[in-house]
Amino acid sequence: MLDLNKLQQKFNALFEQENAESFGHWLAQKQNSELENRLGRGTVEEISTQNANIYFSSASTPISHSNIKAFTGNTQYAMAA
Amino acid sequence: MNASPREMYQTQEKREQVLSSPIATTNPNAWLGDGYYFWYDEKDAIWWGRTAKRNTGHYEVYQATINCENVLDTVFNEEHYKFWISNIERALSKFLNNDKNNISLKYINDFFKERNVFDGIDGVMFQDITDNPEHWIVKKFQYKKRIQLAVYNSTIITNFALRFDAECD
Repeated sequence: MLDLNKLQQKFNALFEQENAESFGHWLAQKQNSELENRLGRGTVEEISTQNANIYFSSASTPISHSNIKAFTGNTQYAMAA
Repeated sequence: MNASPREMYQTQEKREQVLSSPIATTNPNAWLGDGYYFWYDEKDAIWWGRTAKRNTGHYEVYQATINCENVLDTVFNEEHYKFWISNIERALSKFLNNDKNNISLKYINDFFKERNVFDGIDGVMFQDITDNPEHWIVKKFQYKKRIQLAVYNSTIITNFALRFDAECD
């Protein structure tokens, strides 16, 4: 037979110990863990750039680092399951 | 008052081998969190097979005997129902800062479990309203509850066996 008084004591202890911040922290970890379980834990492949500004030889137009990210697309964060 | 034990039903997609034990849900939207889910009504198990377990074109319905003595029964037990409402509402108020759109009931229940609140119970019985039109008396009036049990303690599940398999519509 389920003892509701005993169960209520556990709920009360939880509500005393936890708050929105600790719940949010737990939730983020939980959702990350579930995502890893589905996709596998990957590694981030760092693409090094010696010089963030690359110049076209003909026009000498600088390309920003943000453009390099756009060129590399998802391969920058290749996932190895 | 809890009815114990109960005959309940689990739906699975049909696989090469018949299962010898139930499978815990992997559904990230499962309302009652991680657990072994069983239907109270065989017709709901069939409806779930026809509409949600369609990956292989066939589904299976398993039957099991479940000891519900230590289950939080929010469907048939008024005291349990009020207890459940009270604590869910306290949790929403305490943890969500009125932002209820970014959380599912699954995570509230998973939090209870992982913080050991549910250590003393074997499962939670819950209900919603089915979208099965066969349960309409008049359009959109559902006269039947759709009842599910999430089992957290697998030792209360016995006599798990295949009842039948069928083709999805």
